[in-house]
Amino acid sequence: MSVTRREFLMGCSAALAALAAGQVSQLIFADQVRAAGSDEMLVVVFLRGGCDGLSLLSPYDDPAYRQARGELALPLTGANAPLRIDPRNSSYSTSSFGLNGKMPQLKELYDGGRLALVHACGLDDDTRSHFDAMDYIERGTPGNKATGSGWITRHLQSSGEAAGLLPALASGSATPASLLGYGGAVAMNNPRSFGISTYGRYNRAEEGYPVLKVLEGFYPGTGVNSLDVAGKRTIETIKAIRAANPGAYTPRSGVSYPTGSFGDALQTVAQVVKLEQGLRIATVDFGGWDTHESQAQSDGNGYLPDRLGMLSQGLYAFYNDLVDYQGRLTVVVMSEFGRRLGRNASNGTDHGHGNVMLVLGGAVNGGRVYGAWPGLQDLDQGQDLRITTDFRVVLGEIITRRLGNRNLGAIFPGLTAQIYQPLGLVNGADPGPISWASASDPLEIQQSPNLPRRLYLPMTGKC
Amino acid sequence: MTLTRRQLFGSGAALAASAVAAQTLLSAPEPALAACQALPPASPTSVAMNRLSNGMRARDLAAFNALGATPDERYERWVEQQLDPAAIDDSECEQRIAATRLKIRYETVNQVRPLDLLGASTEQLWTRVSDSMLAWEERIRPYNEVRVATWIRAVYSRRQLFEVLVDFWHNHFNVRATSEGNIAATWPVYDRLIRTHALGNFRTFTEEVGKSTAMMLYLDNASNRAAGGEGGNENYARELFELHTLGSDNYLKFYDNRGLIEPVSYGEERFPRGYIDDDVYEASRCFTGWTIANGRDGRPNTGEFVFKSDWHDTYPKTVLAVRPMEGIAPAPNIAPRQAGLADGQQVFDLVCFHPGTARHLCTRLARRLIADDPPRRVIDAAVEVWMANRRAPDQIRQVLRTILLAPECRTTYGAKMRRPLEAIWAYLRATEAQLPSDEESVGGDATRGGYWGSLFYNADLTGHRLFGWDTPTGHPDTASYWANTNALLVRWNNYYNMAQSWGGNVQIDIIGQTNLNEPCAQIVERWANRLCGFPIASWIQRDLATFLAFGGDVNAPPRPTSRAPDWGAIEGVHDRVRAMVHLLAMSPDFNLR
Repeated sequence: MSVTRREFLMGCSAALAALAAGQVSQLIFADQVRAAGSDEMLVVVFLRGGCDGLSLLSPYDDPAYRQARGELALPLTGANAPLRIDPRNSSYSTSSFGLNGKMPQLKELYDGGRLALVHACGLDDDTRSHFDAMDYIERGTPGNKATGSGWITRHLQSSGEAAGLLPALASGSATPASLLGYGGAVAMNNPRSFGISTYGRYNRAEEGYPVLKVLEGFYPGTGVNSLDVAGKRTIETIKAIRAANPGAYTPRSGVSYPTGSFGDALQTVAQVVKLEQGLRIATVDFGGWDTHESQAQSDGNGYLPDRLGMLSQGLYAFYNDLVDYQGRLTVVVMSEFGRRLGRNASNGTDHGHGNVMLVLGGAVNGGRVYGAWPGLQDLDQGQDLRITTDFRVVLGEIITRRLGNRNLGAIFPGLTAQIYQPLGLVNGADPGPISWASASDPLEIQQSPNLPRRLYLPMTGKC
Repeated sequence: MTLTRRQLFGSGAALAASAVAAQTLLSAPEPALAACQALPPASPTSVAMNRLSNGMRARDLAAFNALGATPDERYERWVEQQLDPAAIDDSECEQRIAATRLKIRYETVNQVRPLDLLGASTEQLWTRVSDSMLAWEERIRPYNEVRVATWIRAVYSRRQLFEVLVDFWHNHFNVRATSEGNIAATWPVYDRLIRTHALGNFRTFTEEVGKSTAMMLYLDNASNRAAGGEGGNENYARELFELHTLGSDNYLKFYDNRGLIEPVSYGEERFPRGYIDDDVYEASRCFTGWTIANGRDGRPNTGEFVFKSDWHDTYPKTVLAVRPMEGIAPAPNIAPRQAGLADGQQVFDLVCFHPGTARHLCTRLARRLIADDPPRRVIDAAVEVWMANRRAPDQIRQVLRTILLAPECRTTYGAKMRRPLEAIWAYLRATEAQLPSDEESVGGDATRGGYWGSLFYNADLTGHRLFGWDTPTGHPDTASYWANTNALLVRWNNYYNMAQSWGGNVQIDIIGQTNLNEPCAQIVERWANRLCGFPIASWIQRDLATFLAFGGDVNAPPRPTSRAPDWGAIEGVHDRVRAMVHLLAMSPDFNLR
């Protein structure tokens, strides 16, 4: 027993020292609080599984594409023919480009100048592993999946105090790695049901919610562990939601979300936005993109086209549902990697590299495709679309020019001024010179190799 | 700048934590030490009951205590007993499974049926759903039966360690049962496969999983074939390397020249130190033709594994080959035109016998059985045993013995958080809950009586979805994932909801197990010991006793309030006692293991 106790004690003191160091760097961050952009909102939609960007925004008449894709190449005619767009980008003159035929809503947003596309974009790392790629992207440290915090966490920490009750929402059952280590994050499936169920007479306003009151004492939020912090956050959220008193959600008239978990998750975000609880950043997961098998039919129908249609319908509904907030809303859609140019023998596609990112919002310079198109002759590892734009460039521009946070070095350690060449995706100016100072918090950057996620220490009682 | 609590909180877990750190540095070191000393006490008993079992249960605790004179003696005998699950009489649990009825309702059908598909063969289950018009509810019925049986075993089985390990392997070789109708339809077979090999040999286990109908369909190897210039289907091969065996820590990505990959040694054997993308591609070629008999192309329609030789790529392949010397790429190590399954079986040998696989698996086991950040020494010891027994039929059992009997395992406590289902099962065990049996209708209402359906629905909302995790990683096994607002709130609510007729109709008689004539503090202490098995933090006990007294004396029995909320009724006290037990289950102490 003594061994363990001592180990824990050592673990505690080492961790506390580390935390103290983190505290110092936090103070430095706090002095750099940005001036503007305080009511801006960012929604990050992650397409999990590796969305096939070449079916989403397709070089549909490029002979190399048609030959490699065979039956999976988008049909040139018929109901599902690609929706041709004007890239307004000279590097895209090697072929025609079109959105998938199932995505007329995105075509409308693109033509209306609200949607920008960045092709041949993504994580500049060789990995073809879903889980490594997601970790690298969401922790914001390509090549390092053991980073103890997510990029959104570091953005929120380095941008000063969150004013509202609900600054960060993960619309779903749990928080993604991009919010790792952020105790202010709230994971929620549905605001309406976010309350305690227990014996009625001890759960009423008249007596001051006695059960909740005792529970609050259990989770002071000051212990050195994630359970304590999450418990406290849960109780705070219950109280905030109770005060806001959300009913069943009714989207704006005429808005039609797709049925299923993606549409539900978007509606949860929309409802929380309208509750006006200070939401600044939300994450939405949309899975099911790992199309190794039976991806689509030659007529352009099938599994992946349907999923792309759902994405298009969902984004369109969400954007129009939030018509009163569009001016301060940016939505970014990304995936861990694209899929291989060549079709496989199961009429699917295996893990690839470069992909397309979508940026939607009232302040987006849309109606353009950004980044350089590398073509389909010179492929990454001889098989996959190359990456010409690092995903951190896209996120970095939104973080600085919309969210008003110039601490890119802390948010994306390793990103340099040389890599970070903003594309002009969004309106707005930098809040000041970009700070490339990396986060020095050892908790954020270093971790025991045996511990894959955030530091966790045993329950420590009331501190 | 002044640090307010609010600012610190707003900045997140690390920062909330650093409030303590900063204050510690600025004032005195005592608070941090005091904090760390408030750990739940580690004892072999609480480790065996709360971490190696699904929680305290009076009967199992009594049996444990009868095993020897000292806690260590009991623990060691208990581990040995539990490592031989077949020798443990579990007839009571099996009788419960036999007596349980599960509702099925669709179109004009509304029945309660026994769990009679649990023992069916692949062919029986496959044939059962061959009618393409068969209702989805019928199609997934076998999976639902396994879910019910798994809950019953989790709560009542005496083979508690075995159930914990079965859950571990289900997550290690994760398949989402409802990702395809035919996977759900044959789920009892996959569950039996996991149970058969849970303590067996990893090499055998991995091949059997690879051939299983469930994995074949989930990771698409069923359609993996050699076809002209197009690649086969890499899905299974990639996850075999990345998740099932070597793990991504041994993934070296792309190498143009295998001669640059340095070797590692184990005794006389040499292995490349990791795998590259070419290993994935080449292994997927080795598995071409490994498929399912689905009635197409002359194959029988049984759902069983079959090797389709005309789909197999017969050219030579290179998988995990060791360079002959530095800078020189190795020749193909998988010969052309090998018969039948030889290519694939050679791949299984290469990945399963690799030392990187030993470390990946032993780390995962130790993470499950000891702590999120498991002690290095235990992993090293387990790796030794793993490697030395790679061909032994009881390899996994021997590795487990090494981990479980290590001092670090029995003296570490509270360094893991219960996942939602584990917490729910622990609550059911500690309260002697009676799981439901479905009814065709309630009060003539045919839409009611599906208690198990309600239980599953509510439990899934925690994010811990039995056999339902989407990706092949399986559920995360660390607190950093599970310590989130949704998973906490929904688990808290499950304790209450599942005892309601609309939420699962689980019978939990808290009042019948409480002596209401005892003082409030005593009642709290008894229930705290029931749920946790050790004296929980005194401040939590104090808060609960104050709540139970509700304005009265904590050293007197609970009394109804004369005005609101009880209006003098004893039912008010009953609700308060139940709410107190509910609060205990929501306490941090109960949620750690």
